[in-house]
Amino acid sequence: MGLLFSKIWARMVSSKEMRILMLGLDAAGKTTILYRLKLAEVVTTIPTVGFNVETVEYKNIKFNVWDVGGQDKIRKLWRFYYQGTDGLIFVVDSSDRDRINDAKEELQHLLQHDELRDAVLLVLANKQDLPYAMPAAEIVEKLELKHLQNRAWYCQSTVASTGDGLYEGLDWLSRTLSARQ
Amino acid sequence: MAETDKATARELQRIRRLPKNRVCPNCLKEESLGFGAVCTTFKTFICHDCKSAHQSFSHRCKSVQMSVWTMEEVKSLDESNGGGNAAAERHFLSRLTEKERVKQGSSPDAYKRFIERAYIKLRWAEAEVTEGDTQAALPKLESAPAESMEQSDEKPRKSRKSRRQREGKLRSPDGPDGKSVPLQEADHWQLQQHSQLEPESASYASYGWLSYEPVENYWGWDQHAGPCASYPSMMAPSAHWKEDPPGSPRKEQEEPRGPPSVSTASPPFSAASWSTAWSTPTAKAASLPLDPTNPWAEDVLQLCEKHGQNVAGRFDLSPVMAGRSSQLVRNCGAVPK
Repeated sequence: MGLLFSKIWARMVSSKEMRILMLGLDAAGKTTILYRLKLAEVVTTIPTVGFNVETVEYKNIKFNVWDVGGQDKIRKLWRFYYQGTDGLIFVVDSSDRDRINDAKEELQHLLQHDELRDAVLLVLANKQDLPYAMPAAEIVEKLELKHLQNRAWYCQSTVASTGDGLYEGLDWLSRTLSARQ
Repeated sequence: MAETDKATARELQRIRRLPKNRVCPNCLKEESLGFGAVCTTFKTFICHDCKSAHQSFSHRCKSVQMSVWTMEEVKSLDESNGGGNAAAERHFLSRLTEKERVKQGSSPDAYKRFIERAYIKLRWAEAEVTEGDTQAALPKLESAPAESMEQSDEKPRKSRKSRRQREGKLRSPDGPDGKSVPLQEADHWQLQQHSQLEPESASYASYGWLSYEPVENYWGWDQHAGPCASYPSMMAPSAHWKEDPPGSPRKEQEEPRGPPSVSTASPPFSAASWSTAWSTPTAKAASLPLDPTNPWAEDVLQLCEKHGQNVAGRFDLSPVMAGRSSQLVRNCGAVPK
């Protein structure tokens, strides 16, 4: 009986930890999203050299979010962060039509890595506040997400500066990740 | 991935350390060693606060250290090619008074507002731009589609149309090039855009993973700095901001927001002049069905009543006329199609 009770108690109180890796081209808004989640405010960012890591607790799950710089010279360092990743957040600047193709290539490239085989993919179509931003459906098309095999993915439109859509994205992550355990 | 070669890096360092490029053109912040961020859209060397503001408008910003540069890109930052802070100040900030300049250390929002006024609404841009200047100073539209090429010989200021206008064109379903799309047509189309969201998201939801949550203010800029009607005013070769002297309270905020305009040849569509933009007789005489669900329908009817056939002839009023008094119908001179 005591054992049962402690199990239930543990289930209610203890929170799970998830390792989330956040990637995307430079200026997509990764750092802004991270600090919007952590501090609930908009920060002035400088290009991320290396990484930022913060723990965001949401719905009893601890998200360890790793935000790795997306500048072209340091993109090759992404692979050192792949190991042990439960969820991958890929951030896209929805109004940057010139580079959506670059984003597609980077994404398709990194999904081929063996270490990310089990990671679920959350695509954040960021900067939806700009006029003429591509809607999420167009992002899905441009990134060729529908061709992905054996991958749980989800695309959410967001505005990092106001926080719109961020928690909906985390909701999906928590649902999907807790369902698979 | 290609790397920046040494000569390119040296040249970039040289340009970056020029005295003028060590002062941020927007907030006048000084950096004795030169800035680490370059806004390649406007070819300026800027501080981090201004860089963040530029990035929130998707203006391309590159890092001196962490981005890969080609010699061509670096050369375009040189003053002789119309790049650098001095040139940007001349072209975008020449009419700026010190009082209006963004203060260092202001909130990110204040920086964003300033960048929007300076580089998107072109509030302080020089009044007259000569052909040569325009070519040299303004960001070149790489890979400009054919439709914007064909107008490039009309007026020099056209080249200031940024990506957004081209996209405005692309997203417009049937706006004939170079002709004005009357308010109602564009507005109607905007409604359709909104109503399309629903079935689209439904179909994706059935696919399993995607949901599209339409974000509020999708069309508007209102959240940050006023209505989206201000966008077209920058796209059209408009003199709109000249009527609105710097420092005067911004009119746009009270005005109803208009649809994205794709007008080029007609009188510029701007927030201040939206009500006259379509009542001016134009060559386009096609009657547009006026949808009763259109939020502007009532206003249009009133104007039709006031101006008679001159205005009413441009619309097919039959859809909204159902069930209305015959007096109104006569006043409007509506011809059922």
